[in-house]
Amino acid sequence: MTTKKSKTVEAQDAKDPALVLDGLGVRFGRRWILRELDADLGGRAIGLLGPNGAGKTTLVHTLLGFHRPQEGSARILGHDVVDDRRGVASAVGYMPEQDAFVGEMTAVHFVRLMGELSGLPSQTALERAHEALFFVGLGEARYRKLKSYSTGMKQMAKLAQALVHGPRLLFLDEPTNGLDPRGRQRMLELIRSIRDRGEARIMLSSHLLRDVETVCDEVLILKEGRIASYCDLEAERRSNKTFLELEIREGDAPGSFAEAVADLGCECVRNGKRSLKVVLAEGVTVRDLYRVAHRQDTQIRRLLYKRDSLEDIFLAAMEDSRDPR
Amino acid sequence: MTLVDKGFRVYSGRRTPSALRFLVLTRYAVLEIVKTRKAISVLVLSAVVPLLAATLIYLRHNVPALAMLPGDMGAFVRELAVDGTLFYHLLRWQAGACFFLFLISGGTLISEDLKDNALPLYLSRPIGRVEYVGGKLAVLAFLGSAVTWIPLGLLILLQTSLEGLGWLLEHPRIPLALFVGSWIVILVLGFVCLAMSALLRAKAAAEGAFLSVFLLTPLLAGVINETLDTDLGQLLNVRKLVEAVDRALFGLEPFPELGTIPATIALLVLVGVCVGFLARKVKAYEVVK
Repeated sequence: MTTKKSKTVEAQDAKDPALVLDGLGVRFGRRWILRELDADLGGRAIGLLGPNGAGKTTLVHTLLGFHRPQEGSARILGHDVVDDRRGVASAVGYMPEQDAFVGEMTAVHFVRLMGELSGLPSQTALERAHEALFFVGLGEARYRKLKSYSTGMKQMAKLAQALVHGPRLLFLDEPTNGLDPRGRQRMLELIRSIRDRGEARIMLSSHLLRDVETVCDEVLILKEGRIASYCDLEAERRSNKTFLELEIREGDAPGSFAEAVADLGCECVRNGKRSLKVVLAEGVTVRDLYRVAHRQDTQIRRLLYKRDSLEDIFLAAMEDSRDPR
Repeated sequence: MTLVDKGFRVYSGRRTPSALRFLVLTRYAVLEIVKTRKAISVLVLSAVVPLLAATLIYLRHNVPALAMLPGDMGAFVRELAVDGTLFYHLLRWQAGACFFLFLISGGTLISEDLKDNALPLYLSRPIGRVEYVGGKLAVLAFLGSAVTWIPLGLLILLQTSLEGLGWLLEHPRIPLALFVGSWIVILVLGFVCLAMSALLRAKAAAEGAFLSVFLLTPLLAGVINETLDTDLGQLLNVRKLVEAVDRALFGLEPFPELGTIPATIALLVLVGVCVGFLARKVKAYEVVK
């Protein structure tokens, strides 16, 4: 049964951005763990990237209401994380990084309990617990105690409990931790299928660039508790923005060649001793580059069409985080 | 049950009232506890004394049955005074049953969740830390009530129905003392039990610590009293503290070595310490400073 109120909430959630950070800061003791976080994220799948200790997990915990921010505010699907913690908790599902379960319970009993705690009526929680466990591939093992599960099965059980109450935003903290390649692939497929269904948004916190790149359409990169970079992967993919990577002969002067290429109206930056990155201007072709090289008495030894990978974006953010966005 | 569509679906149906949602934890835990033979055994044994008391009260009002009892026993039953003293002793006995019930069923209430790191999962849902502890305490309140004020309250009803309303009007203090005294027992034992369960993740350690709080504190109190030639050691004797308050509730002579007010304050301090331990331990994540 769908009540009028729940329909209103659903419609509101669909309109609201998934996550709004407004000068968010979190301090443990005297040390600031997160500082001056500002973002407005509305994608279907948001990636949270950063090296260890960047503050990814603290940010997720703050959004879930486990830590109280000392400055600023955050809103999830329109609910303030401090003033409306219950609203946030009802709308989100959380899959933590570490093992988290009650070992003496069977999977179906445990997932049902989690559903009921989220407000599902008992019978509905039971039905959805069965469905969630089938969805993650634990249908046959759902009557086994969780303590007897393998690492991969425990990860899947954690995902099932995060899904059982049908949340509108899923927080997945390092979901592929401890999984073998097949398990990892399966987990990413499940996450993608949730994303593609379009009913729930996903926030994936990970230090594995590949996982984020394959699942997310927006990425927030954290470094030392601040936003080092933001990238709209979906827009990048749509724009089909490519560049050329050139390698010139040893001994040739890359500086003067770069200047000559720039004179054609292209964007050109040196990328190492002999390497250059070039974004061609409108009307400029590769042939023009060879002409310039000929005039400069420079030999182009290698020329590759490339696209900025998430790894490039991440590494650039790590090097250039003094100018946070 | 529909298992055809295995895809993810957002739930937008009816939700249960959030104010009572902590009772989900209680229901699940109680159902797990009453599945165990140990808990059932203690619950059955705890009914023996109230049943015996009910039999005596019944016989006391049944002249033909009383006449069939052997001489001494008949006289004993006839002379039995159904008053505050009797109910005080019955409450003491049932408090012992409550202690054993909590001992075998309370040790894992929080420790099991802490051991397997389940708290982040509970606390990421629309229940807070207070509700979590409340849900767990309600488990002990339910079990404790089943062995204290409920059976003893039924005895009061039996006595009133046999003796007449006049008896109740003559002893208006007994039902109130019984109810309040039972809740003091339940809450003191309950908070100590939950604090031990939160402090010690291993079931055996939590049970051992709970047992030692009630078995070792009288010994410690005795040692302090003997060595320092004082009565202040009694403030560490948890069992005696509860008894001292219960005596005052039933209007009995207080202990000469332990007044009601110091006993009440000591119990409040004990419960406060337990709440402090729970506040420290029941967290989604501990911040390592």
